Amino acid sequence: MAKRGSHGRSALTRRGVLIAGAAGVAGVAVPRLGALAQATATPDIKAASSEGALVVWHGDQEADVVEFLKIFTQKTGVQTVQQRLLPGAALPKLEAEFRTGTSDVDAYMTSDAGIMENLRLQNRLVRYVPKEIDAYSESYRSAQPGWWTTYYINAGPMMYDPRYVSEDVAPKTWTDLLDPRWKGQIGFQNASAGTSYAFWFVMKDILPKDFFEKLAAQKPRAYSSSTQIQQDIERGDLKIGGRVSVFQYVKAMRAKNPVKAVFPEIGTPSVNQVVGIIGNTKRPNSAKIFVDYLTSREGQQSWNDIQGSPSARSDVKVEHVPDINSTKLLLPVNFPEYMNPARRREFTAIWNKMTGL
Amino acid sequence: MAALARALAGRPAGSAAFPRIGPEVWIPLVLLSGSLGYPCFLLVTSAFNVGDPQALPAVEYGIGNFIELGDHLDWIGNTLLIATGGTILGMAIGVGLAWIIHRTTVPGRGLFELLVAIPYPLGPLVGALAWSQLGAPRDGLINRFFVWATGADHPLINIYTPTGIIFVEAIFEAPVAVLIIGAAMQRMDPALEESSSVFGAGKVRTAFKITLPLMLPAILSAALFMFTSTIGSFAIPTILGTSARFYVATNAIYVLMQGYPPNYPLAAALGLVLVAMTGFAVWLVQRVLRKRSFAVISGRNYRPRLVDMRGWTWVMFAIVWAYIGLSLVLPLGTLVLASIQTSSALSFDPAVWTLKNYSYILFDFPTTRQAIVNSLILGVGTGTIGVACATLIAVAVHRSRSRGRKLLEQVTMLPQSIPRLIFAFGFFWMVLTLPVPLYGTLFAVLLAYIVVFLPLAYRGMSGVVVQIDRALEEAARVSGASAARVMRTVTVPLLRSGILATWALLFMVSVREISASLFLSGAHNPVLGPAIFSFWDSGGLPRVSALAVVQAVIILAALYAVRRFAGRELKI
Repeated sequence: MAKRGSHGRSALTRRGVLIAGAAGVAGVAVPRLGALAQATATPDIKAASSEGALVVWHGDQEADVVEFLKIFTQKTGVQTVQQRLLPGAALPKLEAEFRTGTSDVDAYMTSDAGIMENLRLQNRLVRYVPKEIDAYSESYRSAQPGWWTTYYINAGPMMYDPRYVSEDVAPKTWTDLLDPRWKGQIGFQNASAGTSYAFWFVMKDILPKDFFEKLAAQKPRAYSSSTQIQQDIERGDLKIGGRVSVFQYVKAMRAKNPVKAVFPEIGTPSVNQVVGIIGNTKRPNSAKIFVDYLTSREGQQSWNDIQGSPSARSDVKVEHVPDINSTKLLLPVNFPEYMNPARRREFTAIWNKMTGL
Repeated sequence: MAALARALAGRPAGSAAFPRIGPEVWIPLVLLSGSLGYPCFLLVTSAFNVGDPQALPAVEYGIGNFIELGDHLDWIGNTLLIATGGTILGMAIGVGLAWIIHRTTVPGRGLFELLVAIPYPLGPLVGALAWSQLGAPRDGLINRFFVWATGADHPLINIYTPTGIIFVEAIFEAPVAVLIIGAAMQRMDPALEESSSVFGAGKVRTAFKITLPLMLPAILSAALFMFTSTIGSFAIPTILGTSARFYVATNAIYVLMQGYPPNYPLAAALGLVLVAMTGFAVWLVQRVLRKRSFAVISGRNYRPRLVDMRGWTWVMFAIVWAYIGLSLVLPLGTLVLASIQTSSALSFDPAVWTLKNYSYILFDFPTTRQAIVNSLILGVGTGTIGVACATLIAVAVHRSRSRGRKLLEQVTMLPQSIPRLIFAFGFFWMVLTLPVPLYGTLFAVLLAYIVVFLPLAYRGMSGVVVQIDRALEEAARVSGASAARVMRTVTVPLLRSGILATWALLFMVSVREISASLFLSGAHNPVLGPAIFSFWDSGGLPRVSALAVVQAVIILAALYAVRRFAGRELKI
């Protein structure tokens, strides 16, 4: 490219500059074009049928996921298998599988968008832009569309059963949880739940600084799922659900159980439940078809009807689900801080201490 | 085989003065070390990891995690409380039941023998689920009945307490003591007791002075097993303790590992403390048994003499039924009732009962059928291979004069002292890094089961092997039988009922296993334990109860089939 001059110095020629420039542009652009092509490439349905059963990991209610996957298979012909793994079990497993090149999971659904962002930064996601991505506002998808997309909004109101707690004494706002009458009678999910982390993350700057310290003095009880909190509320063995996934309320309504949900005016902590395709997927076409269907209007209606949860799409309405547009949702927005390991460690220490660990 | 036969014959591998390490010892030692080495390496290095908590293996070392444990001494104290309390209560129940069933004339002994064994294979998960519905302070059936019957405004019991956890641990571990001690009782020479009677000792004095001391190896084996099992118990403290803010080591480890990022170093340090506690218990038992002869099976063919308790017979009868009621009838009945509900609140109104939960479990939920088949395969595989390995090791430890026998025993027992969650994670890494593609297969789960249940199998077999008088084998050898023939015609027939009992035990514990399967089973190779645990987590009480009942039916059906196959010889 460079031509050596009469004084021994390298001389630039116009041709050399053009070639170098073209090579540079190509070096930068070709991988991006390739990635873009991959991100927007339409899945091959015929190829999907020969890929084998799609492997889906999730942290949702297993029965709901199985029911949805059945519908998905009927609609698309893509066979599936699922495994319920909370983040603490899923991520070490995924880490080990990646390190040894034996990864088997294709689609991952999680309550922690921060985890998904970390996977993206580690190049452990495949980017695929769902066909109906435009139906999702920016706050419900990754900054660059296609890495992850919100498949439902997990709002977390307080909950109680009026058979055991009269409405006049029931908490109306978050600081009411500090009433001594609820000592030992408030239930939260433990620190492994992404929803607990989001609760702490968004509330620590809104509520009084000593709120969590005072809440710890109330000796709240830790549960591994919101289903268990809901069960104990229904049985009268727990008075207040400190933060319970809204779909539990909807399920209770459907079962005609007289449970009440409290959405304080100050806001209700919520998380994006997100789906993405894991890198090294062995079934890329099936995974893309799955993400397409889950995020489509039909898929969203189906999933959220089953789960009883609000969709991130404004064109999907589900019976009994509180209107999230009339509710102030508190979603984690400061992502760099939300993903910060120091914040997570701080949360874990506070939450574990609060729940007696 | 020749080495093993030589061990059976009591011949040393080397010279009498300086025995070498014989193949009957070094071969299992090498195999076990290979299976245990990497998980243990991960456990130890993680416990001393003071750098990145997720680094495996660690790169920065220190004792910071053990210092941090100083802030959580309640976990260790609670663990000791539950393990000690559970073992004492469980042994009291186990020894009492074994004696009533195997040494008294109480009517219905055959049926009792079967019914008393069932709670153990049903498992702690089923027990905790059932008792959470029986003994919950407000909605538990027992409390509801108590309030209804007495008009009281307070509950009778609260199962979400340390006492409640000890109680459930004890009643669901007691069958192991009944099996181990019962097997030893059946092989005891009654002449020793008869001699005691001839010299004027009463029944109680004979029981305490003759029977109990002769049973000491079996009693200590059972107690050791129960103690280590309770220390590592996961399901009962998790279900009954966590929501009551009561943490022992295992549910604390579970929460530490489930958090993101998971705190492996603190969990591993806690795991090492458990290993140390178990090691101390093993050492204590070995010290008690050292240099004492416990041979209670002689060459003379006697049937154990049964004690006629006369007026006390019906008290004994009631005691056994009380145990069966608390550990089997009430829990299973409650689960059946819960499984036909439409919500978590238990209702006696048939109008709200439904069979939809069963329909869902058996027909609509695709994971279940696969999990059932896989668990059955694993049960048969673990039983067969586990018993074979345990028998060989027990014979090598107790009959060989080779060096390294004690080491072999300690290595065999090692998995019992490592929390299965942590062990399973290390084992999972080992499987991933093996050159053969085992990951995601049922065989990987089978390997893990064999390793983690080997202590149980070994305790079962060694309790029997140690009681067989060498004189029987020596007599055969003096009569000209080869070592192999001695094994085939004398030793194995004497071990037969122990082998069958241990096989069945391994089958059942495999079917109900959770912790070791958590990392190794997956979407392609589901098994029952994690499926039930996942349902407990997110499926709601009616469905998890239905799945637990289905599991119980499978275990009962398997028990029935095994008993039919083995005939009356199987004493479980």
